[in-house]
Amino acid sequence: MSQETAQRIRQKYGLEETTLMDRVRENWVGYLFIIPTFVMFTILFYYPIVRGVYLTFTNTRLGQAGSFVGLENYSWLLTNDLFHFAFGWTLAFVFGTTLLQLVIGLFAALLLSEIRSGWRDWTSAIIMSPYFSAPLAGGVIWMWFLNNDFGMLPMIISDLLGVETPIFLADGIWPYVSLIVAQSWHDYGYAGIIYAAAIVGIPREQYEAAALAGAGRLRRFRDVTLPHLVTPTIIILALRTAWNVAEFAQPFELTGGGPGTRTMLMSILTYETAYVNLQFSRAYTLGMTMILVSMTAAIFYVTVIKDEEDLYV
Amino acid sequence: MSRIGTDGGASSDHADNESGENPSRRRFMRSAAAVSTVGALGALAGCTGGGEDNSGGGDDSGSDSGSDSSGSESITIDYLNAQAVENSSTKAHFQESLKSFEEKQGDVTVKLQTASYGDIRSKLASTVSSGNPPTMAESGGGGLQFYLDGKVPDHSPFIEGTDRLPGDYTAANLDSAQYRGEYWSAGGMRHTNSNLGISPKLFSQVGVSDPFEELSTWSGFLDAVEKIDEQTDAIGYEETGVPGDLESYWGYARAAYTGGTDPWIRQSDDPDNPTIVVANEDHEDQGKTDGMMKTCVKMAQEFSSEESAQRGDEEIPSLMLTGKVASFNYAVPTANRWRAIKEDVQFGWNGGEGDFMLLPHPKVDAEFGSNFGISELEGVEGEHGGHMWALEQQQTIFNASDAEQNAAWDLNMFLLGDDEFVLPAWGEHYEALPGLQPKLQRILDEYELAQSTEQAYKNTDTYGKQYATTGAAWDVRDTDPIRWTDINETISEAIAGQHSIEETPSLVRSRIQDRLGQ
Repeated sequence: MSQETAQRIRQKYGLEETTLMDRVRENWVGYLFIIPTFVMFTILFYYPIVRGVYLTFTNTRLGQAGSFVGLENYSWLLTNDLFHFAFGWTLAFVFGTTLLQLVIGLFAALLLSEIRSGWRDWTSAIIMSPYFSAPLAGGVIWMWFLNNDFGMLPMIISDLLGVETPIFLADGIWPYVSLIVAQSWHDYGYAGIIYAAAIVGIPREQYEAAALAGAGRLRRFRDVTLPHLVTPTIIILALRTAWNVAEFAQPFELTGGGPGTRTMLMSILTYETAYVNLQFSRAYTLGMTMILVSMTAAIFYVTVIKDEEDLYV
Repeated sequence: MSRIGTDGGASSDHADNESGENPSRRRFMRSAAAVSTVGALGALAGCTGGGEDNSGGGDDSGSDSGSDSSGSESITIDYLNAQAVENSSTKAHFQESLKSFEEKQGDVTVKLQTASYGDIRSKLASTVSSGNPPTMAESGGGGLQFYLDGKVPDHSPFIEGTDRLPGDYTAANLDSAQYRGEYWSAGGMRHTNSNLGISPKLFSQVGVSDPFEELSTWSGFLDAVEKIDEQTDAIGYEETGVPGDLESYWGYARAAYTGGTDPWIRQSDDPDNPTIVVANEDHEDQGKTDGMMKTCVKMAQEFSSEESAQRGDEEIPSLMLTGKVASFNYAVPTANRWRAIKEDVQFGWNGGEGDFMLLPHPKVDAEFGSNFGISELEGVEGEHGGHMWALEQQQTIFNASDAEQNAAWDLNMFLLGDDEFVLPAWGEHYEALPGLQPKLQRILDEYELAQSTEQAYKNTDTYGKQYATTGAAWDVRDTDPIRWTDINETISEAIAGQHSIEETPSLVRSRIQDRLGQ
């Protein structure tokens, strides 16, 4: 086989090493189409991010560029007690809300898959509605729901059960629980939508085959439904983790990091550092930590899915 | 914005996956991971505050008014303000007044943009950093930062160009508008002040009959609160302990002093290194300052609800009007916020039958320290009217052409001094104290005011000379972080039980020291 033929074969099956220019020449229409998006992303996203990274090495404040200070902001961060606390609590908050959102979302999707058509659309709209409500509005709803003096939940608990209610937004462990539950309520719909789509896509034949083989309801769920849900689960995990790390509006509305600073999340601390203390460079540095958390989680999930894929190969 | 983008991306990726091809799953996981990372980056990018946020809430007030009538070139100024959206009636009043200002000027158009007090700082920061600041804004303490960064001109020439300023400014305005002797601001349109607020029904129930006498000292007040605590189900005293509303403490912190002496920070020979009085072992006044700080935490712990570290002042009217709270130290002149809860609310004592009454903050008496177990305050006496909000309402003119700046200054003088605007604004729509001293009496003469408003005015009259807004006199760049974070948040943590009463002053001190680089 001549050298030339071999090259042609490699080219034909896309095995030939190509340079960037070759690829541009070959797919120029495609590149042309992504240019506007790329430009907008550069202006609105990549540039601010790169600038944000640079600013963490400066002492930038409100409206002022600031000068280079090396790692000062990072050393401030590492020696700051409130940051240590906020970091730990953010991890707990993210873990708790992401997990709850998965579980509630899964149940919502399963419930929907059981409903006969007709009611299905309405039910799904109602079940998923919290996800489409404004987070601040959600915060206000929960604040009134949990309000110790006028709220519905304390009223129900004390009137019907005759038990003294804890103060949900102030007492001991309750503010933490309240924040996690309220956030899960707001965003479980996201998991629900993805799970519902995945469940619809599971071939009915597999259920029939399983039923014929004598599998009961639970067994069918375990052996047919669950395996189809592994990939959606990991997507939901990756996305919800990132969003929950950055979650701000609803916790801010509900406790604002209080009582005192007992429920201070990194997102609220970032806001406070930027807009109360006007130390933007420190706020960016805090933002870096949040990115780091999201990225670590994302890398972890990708590794997991890779391992999972290897099982199938 | 980025949120919608990423969510959409995820679901389309998901559809790919549903086709059941394994290779696409890998690709889709990669993109999901990328998208999630970008999601977090988005939070950061959001923080850089790209200037696209300056359109919301804008109100174009009467842009068609008489710019053609005079032969001169017409000028348009942008004016960003939070006051106009305090309630619905202030907004209408602002719009009408601006229209009449435009008519009077002939060649000026004012574009009013509004933002709530919660949003105005970030909105202003993003417009300034994108190089598109308004001509004038209710910048609050942030305006000082912009002044120090060269985004705001020296306001002295404007002030010196008038025949009534700075003489007519209230003491609080005069204090707030200056930084180390330079005018960085044009003053604030109005102030409010913090006072003692009580429920006459609950206080009369425990035997108080002359509140002006019996509640005039901290010992007398403490005695009554203790009785309410023991004899009724109500909360005797509720601290508004969320860091953003601990101005209540600012109000009475000065009561251990006389003459309005600053309890926290005093200027020294080196303006960059002022003297911190808090927890300062070498300072003769340490006990007074630390003592009142401890009083704040102890009052909250002994009498307030367990939510007091979270309590915002907006919640108090409904709690007091339903008999749940007997007193608080964040009573402001604005009667409308009480009427909003209960239309026929009874202001004043009314023979012990009133719903809400406003009094001066109690005086610290020599026995209070031993009565309440705060040893630092034993033998200490002092009095002070309350806290005056003045920094928050400061208005600044930003760098612009001379014509625009002059038009903005004219607008400022109109908002400060024109009776047509000033009297209804602060006497009717949003009861508050005007920014120019002579207007106070004018409003008192003009309007039949609720007891709470009238008393708040009287307190200003009595204590006006020593009234000062917290932090204005420190003349340091970080006034806001020191008062909101280092002082208030630390005290709020103490109320929430995160650290002890005893260590609170020293924690506040070390945080202020860090902030000032001492």
